[in-house]
Amino acid sequence: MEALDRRKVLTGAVLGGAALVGATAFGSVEAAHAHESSQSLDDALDPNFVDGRITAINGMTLTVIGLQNLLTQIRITDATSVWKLRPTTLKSVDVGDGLYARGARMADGSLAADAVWVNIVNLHAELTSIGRGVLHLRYGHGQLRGHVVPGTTSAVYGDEPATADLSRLRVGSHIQFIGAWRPDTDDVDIATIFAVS
Amino acid sequence: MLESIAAVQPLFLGLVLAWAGGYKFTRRALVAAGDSALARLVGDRRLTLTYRAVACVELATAAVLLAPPAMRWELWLAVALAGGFLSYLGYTRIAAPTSSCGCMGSGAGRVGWRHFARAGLLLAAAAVAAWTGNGPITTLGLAVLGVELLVLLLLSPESHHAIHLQFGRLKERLRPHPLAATKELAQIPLQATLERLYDSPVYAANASLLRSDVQDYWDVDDWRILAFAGRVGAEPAGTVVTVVFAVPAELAPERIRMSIVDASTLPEPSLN
Amino acid sequence: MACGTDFIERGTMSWFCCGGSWGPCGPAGGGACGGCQSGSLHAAWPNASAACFDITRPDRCGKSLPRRGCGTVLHVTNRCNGQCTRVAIRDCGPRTQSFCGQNCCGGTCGSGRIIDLTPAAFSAIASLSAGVRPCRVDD
Repeated sequence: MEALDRRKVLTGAVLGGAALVGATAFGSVEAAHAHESSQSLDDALDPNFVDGRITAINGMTLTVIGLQNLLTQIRITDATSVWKLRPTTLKSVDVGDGLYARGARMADGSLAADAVWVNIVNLHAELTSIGRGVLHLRYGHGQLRGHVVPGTTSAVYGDEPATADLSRLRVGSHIQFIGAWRPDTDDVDIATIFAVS
Repeated sequence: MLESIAAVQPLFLGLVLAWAGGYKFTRRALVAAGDSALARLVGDRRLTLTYRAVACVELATAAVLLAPPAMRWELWLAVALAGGFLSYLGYTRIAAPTSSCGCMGSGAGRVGWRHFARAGLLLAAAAVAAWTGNGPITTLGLAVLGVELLVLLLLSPESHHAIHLQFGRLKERLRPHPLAATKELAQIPLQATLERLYDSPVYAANASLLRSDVQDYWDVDDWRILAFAGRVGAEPAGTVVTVVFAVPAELAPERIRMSIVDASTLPEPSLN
Repeated sequence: MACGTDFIERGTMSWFCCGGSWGPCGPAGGGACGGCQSGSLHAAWPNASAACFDITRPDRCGKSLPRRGCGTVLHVTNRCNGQCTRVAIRDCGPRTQSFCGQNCCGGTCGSGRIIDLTPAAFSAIASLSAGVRPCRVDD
């Protein structure tokens, strides 16, 4: 119910009034300084970014294990976006999911996340075969099964707008795709395919 | 009969080793070797030197095998080389199971039964020849050579892939596209809405306010509404806001609407 | 608006993973230069070496990209929002010749994939889910 109320308020705000709303409420609308993405030394890990797998979920906090078994707490707030194949919420996130998170490192070592991308992959692959609802993909490190998700999977052919029409995909073609890996499998749900037209 | 089979093995082994060694000198091979088990074994610094050294050994062995007469020690060298390949494959499977081989073709994926079968064939060929000794090349021998090369081709993950691809293309020509039904879908994908939004002047003018990716999206009549988290204000932290865009179904960037709402005035989102 | 000192080229940018991590990135090595990590501000450059150029062939997309070897620091600006990050070259890529198409933002378009960033670097200036963005690269 709360999600619907929130959507109702936002819909009213954007469709109900003038085309651009909000400037007067905030004076001159200027972007706040982005937290100084402390430009880390070239080979150090960016402190405002986390790459790892979720080992625990406690309320709004994710515990993530990264390289060299480093544990990090990631705090999800009202201002955090969560992506898992599509924009979603924390309730879609599971222990065992991989993630990238961008935010602000706090004094206690945790990351206050602005955006979390769960199981996201961006790969180049060769389409080795096309089945009903599944694309067989050969990428640099092996084979993957790419699953077409009705209502979500779309294709971008060359410079054309994205379309749900996947009938122009051809065996043997090279593509780039954004998708969500299914943990501990060779399967990926596909969000967007970038194909050379 | 065994002598006939043994007689063509130097030719078989020489051709295969020449192919493997020659491939390793291509630039594409060196770039792909970065992801192989060899890279993990010797480290990035010594990879190029080691890779090229292996190639030289393969080519040198190929040269002595192909140059008549085939001496016994050359065949025992081939046995040692094939044994070394098998050990390397075993190491890859145990220590770096997701790495590629970097052996005879690029992008062959992780080491599987085909790699082992191929190396096993080479070891068997070398062992038979080394054990049996030399003999004249006969018609039977040439037929066996042809079969061995064909089997090697079929076992090679690289050529298996090429054959698989040709079958896929043939199937494509003979039957309707398996995803033909998606052509009839009327729904505009989220990606298309985002492209229109990103390409609009209102987004470009306000992109610097945004701090998150899309938090939520929904459809109302002919509009798709997208909500982002953002920050405005002069302080370093600023005020947390929700930046909401309304994108019309028709292609009309001038009609895209935007609103900035103080996040603290909104009902709590359902996050759990 | 851009950061960096000398303009190199405009085009599009995408992202890739390296250094070994979860999922399909598990087998990813340290890149052609070694030491590449998804969590660091690293990038793949199509002309990191002669061997690299032979594979990526940015000239086939009309892109003139100078040789910048491993470890070179570049500055990448997202032309959608003006945000910029510095990156160190740690890999060879992308395969520009396969991706000459364009990507637009607010009427600003870039064509030809000229750089790939690690997730840390790309997310500092754009959303990972966008996949491709118009960019500018400076020294």
